Amino acid sequence: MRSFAGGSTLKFRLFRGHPSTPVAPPDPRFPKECCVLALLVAAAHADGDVAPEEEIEIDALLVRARSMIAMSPEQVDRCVTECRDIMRGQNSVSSLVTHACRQLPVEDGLGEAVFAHCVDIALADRRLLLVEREFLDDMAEALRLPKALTDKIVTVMSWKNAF
Amino acid sequence: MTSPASALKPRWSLARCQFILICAAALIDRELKPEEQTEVFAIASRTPTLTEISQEVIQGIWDDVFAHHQRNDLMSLVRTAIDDLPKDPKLALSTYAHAADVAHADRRIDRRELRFLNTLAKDLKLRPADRRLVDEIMDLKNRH
Repeated sequence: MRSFAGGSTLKFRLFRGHPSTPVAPPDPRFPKECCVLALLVAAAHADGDVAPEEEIEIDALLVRARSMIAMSPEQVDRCVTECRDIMRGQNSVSSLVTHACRQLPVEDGLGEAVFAHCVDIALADRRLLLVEREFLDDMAEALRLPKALTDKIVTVMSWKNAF
Repeated sequence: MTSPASALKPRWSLARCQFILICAAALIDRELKPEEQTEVFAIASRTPTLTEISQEVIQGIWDDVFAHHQRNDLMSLVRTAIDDLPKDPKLALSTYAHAADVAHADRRIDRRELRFLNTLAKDLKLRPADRRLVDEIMDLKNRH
């Protein structure tokens, strides 16, 4: 059982595209760009406290990340509201990650890139708490990313955020 | 041998050196992309070393780097920043990773950027395997 921001404990395990898992029907509220933003928001909330550094990084990514650059301020607001509703409704960040990972399109390198951005956000305050580590492990599993690759991503982002 | 004059020259602070190298990564291809500028200022606003200095000082460093860039003299500033950066392997890796992230922000590395990253990696004495790993992950991260 895992505990995430919001106070509840939920078993968080999902397998995106796993043969035994039914494919989630597309959610029109969660187009690709909203899935990406939702995962970044979830990463910032993973330790239950959104640090100013984490907010700054998300704001910067909204301007520069190819997957989100076309979002209008209204779309961003709408997406953040949907994210808050999901987190509030299920009382956990993990429910948001589950939903966003299921809706994230399978595109070359998209899962890896989003995971790297999330690690960068989680490490923006220079520390990776156990709950953040667990969040990233679960996200990597949900996106079916190889452990060797996610370890490399965490290593490089730790180097980067050390100073 | 260090000359008396250079021995007396005040060394730049860690923050100044690091920020100059990060700014240079955005400007080295002679074309400042919005993605790169956004990343530079995000780094300045959130990186512990840089948040210790005021916004005015950050702006002053940026203006200085930009002026050198316009005079085609960016590399002289880069060389001084590399010389004055404290010799700490972890700081070198962090600085290189920030610079590589900025350079990759527009999803392509041109020959000027590559030459700059090569210089940085060599002069900061990065292990080739570490440098390759940083480049690989920054490329992957900035693809989407």
